Amino acid sequence: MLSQTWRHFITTSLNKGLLCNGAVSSLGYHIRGKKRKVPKPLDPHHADELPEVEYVGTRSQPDKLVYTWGVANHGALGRPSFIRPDKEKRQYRLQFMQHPHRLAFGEYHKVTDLTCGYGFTVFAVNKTPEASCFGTGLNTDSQVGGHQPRRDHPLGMLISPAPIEVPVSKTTNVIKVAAGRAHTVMVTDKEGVWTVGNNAYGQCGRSIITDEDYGKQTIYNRIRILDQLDIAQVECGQDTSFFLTKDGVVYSCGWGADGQTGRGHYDNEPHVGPVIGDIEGEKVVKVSCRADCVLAVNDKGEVFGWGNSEYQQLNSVTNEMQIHTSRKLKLPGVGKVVDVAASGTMCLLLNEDGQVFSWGFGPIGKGPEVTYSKTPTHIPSTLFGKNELTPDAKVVSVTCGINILAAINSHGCLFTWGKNPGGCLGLGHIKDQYFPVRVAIAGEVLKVSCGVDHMAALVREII
Amino acid sequence: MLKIVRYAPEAWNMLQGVFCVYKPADMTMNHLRKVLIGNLSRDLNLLKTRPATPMVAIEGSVTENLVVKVTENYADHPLVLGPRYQPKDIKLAWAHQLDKNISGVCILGVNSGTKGTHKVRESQLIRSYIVSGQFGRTTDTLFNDGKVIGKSTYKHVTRGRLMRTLMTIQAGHQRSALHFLGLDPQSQEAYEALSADGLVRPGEKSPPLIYALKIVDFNLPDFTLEVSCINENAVYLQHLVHDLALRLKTTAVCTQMRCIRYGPWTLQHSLLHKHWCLEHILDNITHSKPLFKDIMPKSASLVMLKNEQSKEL
Repeated sequence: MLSQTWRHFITTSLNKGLLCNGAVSSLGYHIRGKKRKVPKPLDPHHADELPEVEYVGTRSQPDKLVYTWGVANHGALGRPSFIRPDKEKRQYRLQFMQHPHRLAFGEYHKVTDLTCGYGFTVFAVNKTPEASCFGTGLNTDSQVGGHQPRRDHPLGMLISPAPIEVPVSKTTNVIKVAAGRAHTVMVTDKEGVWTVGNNAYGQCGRSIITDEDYGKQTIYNRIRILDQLDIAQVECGQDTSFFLTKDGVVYSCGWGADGQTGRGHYDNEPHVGPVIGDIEGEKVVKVSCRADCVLAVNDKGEVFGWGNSEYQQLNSVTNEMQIHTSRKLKLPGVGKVVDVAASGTMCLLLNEDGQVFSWGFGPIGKGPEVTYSKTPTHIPSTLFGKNELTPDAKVVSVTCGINILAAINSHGCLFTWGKNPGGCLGLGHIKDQYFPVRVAIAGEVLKVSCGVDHMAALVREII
Repeated sequence: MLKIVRYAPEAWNMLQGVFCVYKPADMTMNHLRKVLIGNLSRDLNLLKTRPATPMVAIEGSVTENLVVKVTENYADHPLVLGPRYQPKDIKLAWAHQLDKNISGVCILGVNSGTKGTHKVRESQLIRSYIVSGQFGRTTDTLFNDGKVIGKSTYKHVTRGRLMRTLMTIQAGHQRSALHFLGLDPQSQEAYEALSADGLVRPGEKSPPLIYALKIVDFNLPDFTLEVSCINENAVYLQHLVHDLALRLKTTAVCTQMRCIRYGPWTLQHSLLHKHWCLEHILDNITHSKPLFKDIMPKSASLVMLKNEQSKEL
């Protein structure tokens, strides 16, 4: 598209050996033996007949691009040549994409939302005639839809994005997506909330059928209880689903062995219902859960938690390993919290001054020597780009995967740290990262989503 | 306290050290060096030079009276030997070789000050440049004087977009400074160096690293940036302007490069062409001595860019 013509212009005209110091022959290539001490005088009107190319119009708006990176073997990155390389085009199999890679899918579609599950990626797309939700990656439980090019032989893995055929009318668009281990939740603008994929614990919001073959049969379930409600955010834990309404009530369903459904018991919960405990009556603005510990923030800046606490994530209110009802966490010295992220063993919170606090077990971001913290500790703001040259840089959002933590600052820079399976942090290596480091993406990162071993980001260009 | 020196050897003894000169544009460093050496030797010869040592002759014979006479020594006469101070006697070295197209602050060392220039180079001081460019065309040499090979529109470039692109480039360079620290990125020392101040100086030889990029003037099609960097050269700065335009989806050519600061030395310290004579160079050596004394960096992190460079500009 636009960028490809630009690259073409640069590689042909400029790389023909013209960019060398000293004598340059006007032919555009070197002639051995013929040098000029004094360059030939230039005709003052030599540039008049050159065409003036317009690469960008005066009123054009910058595009949104999609970048993915991490493990490429399961097809979640969306580029088919990583898994089925074309020898004629000099493509090779790629196991790990260790730095951000720009996805062609984002050039041909207007992507409005994206999410990473465990080995698959789902995109919510605007204005296409086929579908408004696409997915790629592992498809063992139809988490990215049913794809049977040959009857009774469903594809177990997709290597490039394909439409997820949710049975809604053509005018309805999917606006929000969330994905867990093997299921996907999609919120449409006119026809409610739909789920697809594995339902072994009731995470799709429908009754559990024993010995159901999820890969063979794709069942799209519309969650009727949420039809009348305005959904602000959806989030998926490992095998649980959370729905946050605009009124601030959190609904959940799915696996509850660690109490992560927050419904007062440790069983599976196939019916969607509100979370009970201290959170009742509060106006929640964000829910975060990527594995089995859940954190929620209300509009006053207070944090509530429930679910797994084996790594002391909730130890400000309990010493038990799990809690099944929500409790308000006591976090002194942290200020008004605006964002939270709860991964497998680590938790992050962001306060209104742009400071990031982390606690839990693992590479929490304070260097290689700090491997656990029971209380939230502040990660120095200089690591997030705040130094004497840019004193106004502060963090605006935090996200996480299972063992990966990510933060975006006010200049649109993305910082990642944590465990690094397959180079999924996008830093160019596969070693664990013990403190936040900026990922090299040229553009303003709007949203990033982390899975187990891959990440996807929605980036706005500068021009 | 002014000191008046009339005797050339005394001035020669004072002519040891590092000093700072404003190199005009379109002058190569080799030419500058020849001009300076010529001026210094001319000025030294104009002072009162060492008189010829007299020749002592003993005339006569042993039988007669022996007479001791002091005669004119032609072996030491300036008209025979040539001027007392010749260009080949003066050692002049530079800390960094500035390209013909770059004007500005240039650090040189004379006689025993040549060792000082090595020290200045090794301490990897931050240099600030004023780089001007013009959108709309690109040339084969990436500078104003080349042949135009492409033209493009530039009306879509706004000050805000240029600023955001500069911040992206700056953040990218700050991030890559991590690699050149000379420390293992997974180690505790790297974490401490980065979390203390955020800006780090490379521990070993590194490619050009940009620390600060600022817009000084934005007047389409012209723009002017202030670039603070280390280990750069003229070609790199021209490429910087060119790459900046590519990111903004247009073309640009570099029109001017001017070094305004070299570590603690600024434009106020540097000597203009009309002042390239012995008297002013000796003054400059004296003024540069305190600046030269503490330029060796102590730690990996750049403790306060502003403190490292002098307050005045």
